Amino acid sequence: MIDAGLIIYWLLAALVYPGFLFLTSLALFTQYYTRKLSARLQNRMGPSYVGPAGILQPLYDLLKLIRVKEEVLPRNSLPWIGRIAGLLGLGAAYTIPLLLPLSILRIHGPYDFLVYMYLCCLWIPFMLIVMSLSFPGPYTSVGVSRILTLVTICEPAYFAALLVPVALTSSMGDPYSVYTASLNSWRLWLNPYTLPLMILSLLAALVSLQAKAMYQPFNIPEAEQEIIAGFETEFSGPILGLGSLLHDVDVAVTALSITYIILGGPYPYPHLSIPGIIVLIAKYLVVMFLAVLVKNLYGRYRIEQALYTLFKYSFIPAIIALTLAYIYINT
Amino acid sequence: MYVVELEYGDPGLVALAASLFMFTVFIIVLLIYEGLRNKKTRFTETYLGGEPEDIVSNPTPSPANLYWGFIRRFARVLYRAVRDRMHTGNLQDWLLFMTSWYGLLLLVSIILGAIYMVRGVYP
Repeated sequence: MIDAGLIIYWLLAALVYPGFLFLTSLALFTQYYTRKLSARLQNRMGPSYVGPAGILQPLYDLLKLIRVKEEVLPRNSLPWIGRIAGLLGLGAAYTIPLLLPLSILRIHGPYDFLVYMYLCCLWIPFMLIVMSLSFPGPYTSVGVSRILTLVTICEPAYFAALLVPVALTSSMGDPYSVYTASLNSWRLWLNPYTLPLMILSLLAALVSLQAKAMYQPFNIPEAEQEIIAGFETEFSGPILGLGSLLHDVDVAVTALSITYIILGGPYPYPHLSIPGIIVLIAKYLVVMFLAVLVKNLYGRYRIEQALYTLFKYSFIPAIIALTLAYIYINT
Repeated sequence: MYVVELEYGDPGLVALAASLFMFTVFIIVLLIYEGLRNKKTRFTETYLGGEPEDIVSNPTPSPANLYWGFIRRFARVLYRAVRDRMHTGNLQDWLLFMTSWYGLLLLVSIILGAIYMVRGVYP
């Protein structure tokens, strides 16, 4: 029986926290943090004028694209498919926090890790691809072929990296649950047998985040100037705003998932305590700081260099950690 | 405290609840997006670095390019190995390639069979 309270929580979770309002704010803040940090690393100012210290610049840019700019469409495009795909991708991204202990409405159960992966690694990248293919062109096709090529290594590596804490915490609650892993993964950092596995898992996940976010050296699908803007060459106005928001929300959700599933979120402090919130924010900012640092230290790789780097520093460490994790579980 | 937990024993129900939530959010963001977006549109030619559309035979390359792009770029080593060792045009090379793989599979099956006979499936 569905009661009114559940419907209110359902709508609150969808609209306010951790859905539309919270995750959009987090994604825009993450974009601001990335731009400001990149600028300071390159001895520039970065966003400065809109809001205090320029913090509202990403929101202003998004509103300008959606509200003010006109949509310039190539003649053989299918804009409504692009719009629907982008919004479905956002729907999937806004659902992911419900599987984490951060939400006011939590959905969990055994094997919810597969639901997490279904939303995070299938819906988001494929909706971005469908969006891009709805506005076809030679540069778009090259960009999409590069996304597909990256996805073949990046997503399995991300899956294997997150599976390590999920498998190791399976005996502590629901089996293969993102929720159980988020509540208990901090214990794995204190166990001398599982500590090296968690370090390998973190390394693999951070390299995957770099590729999923398409930050340097993995910014091959957009490859500015080389293939104009790659998969987003034909995006303009509102659809560019939507694509940009989907990308930012994807980055925020991935960084948040690494913070929770591998780094244990606010733990060892309780969830709604002040130290817990501070620890959670600090971990999130450290994860994003590492991504921005690598982004500014490296130039763009060629596609095969990127794939071998992903294979070497993400896929192989994740597989080694996973194999050792199963040996540990069975001994 | 201020938290509602929907705990399901069946992973299918978790997927169903998540999909339902995803659909709810989709409707909400659709309404917000359609309410906010600028409806003004303008049609142009496909962007080809300033060149007219007639310089390309097709503005959208074939989907087969996605496959060959992957095979030729990433799986280049594998592609060359298969092409140079198997597809040389010499039947003996093909036979050698195929029998060596079958030989390896046979060897693996013999080893696994021996392990099974000695230790059983669940030792």
